[in-house]
Amino acid sequence: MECQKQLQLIEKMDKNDELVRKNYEELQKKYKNEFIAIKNGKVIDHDTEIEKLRDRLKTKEKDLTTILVYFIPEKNTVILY
Amino acid sequence: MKIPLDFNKEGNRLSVIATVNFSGRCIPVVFIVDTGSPETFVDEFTTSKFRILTKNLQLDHYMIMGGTKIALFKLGKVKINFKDINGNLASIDFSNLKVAETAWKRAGMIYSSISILGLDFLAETKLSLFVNPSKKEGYLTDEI
Repeated sequence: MECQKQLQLIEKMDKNDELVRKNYEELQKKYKNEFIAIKNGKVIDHDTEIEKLRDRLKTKEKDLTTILVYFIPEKNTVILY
Repeated sequence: MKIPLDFNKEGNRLSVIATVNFSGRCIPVVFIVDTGSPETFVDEFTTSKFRILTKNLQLDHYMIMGGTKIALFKLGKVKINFKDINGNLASIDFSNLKVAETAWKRAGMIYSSISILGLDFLAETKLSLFVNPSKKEGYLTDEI
């Protein structure tokens, strides 16, 4: 794949990741203990069960390449990787 | 070469976005940078979008992460591409990328699948990690 396309992919992913980085508290209020799917910097779907979310995304979305899925824990919970 | 890393708002998560080239595919990945991890791996949920499934890969070994036992499968030699500080593509060869078996459970109980850029990546590529959490500044570099 050309360099430019790789950079575009990185930039698209960065836009999605940025939503979580910058709006974590708001996301926690709205989607606590849920998995969220982000596309083009917006939450497009959410569910408490990842399998259900994944299946819906597969049905609804043509291209899953740059869709990010995150788990949003409730407040006062830190994810230790 | 200097590859900037991203801090989250709370300043407690350091990540970097990259694309992984493997077998003609170009897989976008958000890596958590974790020097406490001896392994670099991509989670299966990410690779499954490209029909790379652990059931088709060779088991390498198991790892216990946060009390959860996770199987790591060999993906092997890849090229990992980052956006450098000047906005150019920095392509780095890595010989031993693995795919972590998805350990999805109901939300709120376990979410242990994540992609990690570990110490093995820094060792092999001879990159250094600079982090200043108080300034939310972090980068990978070959210049130190």
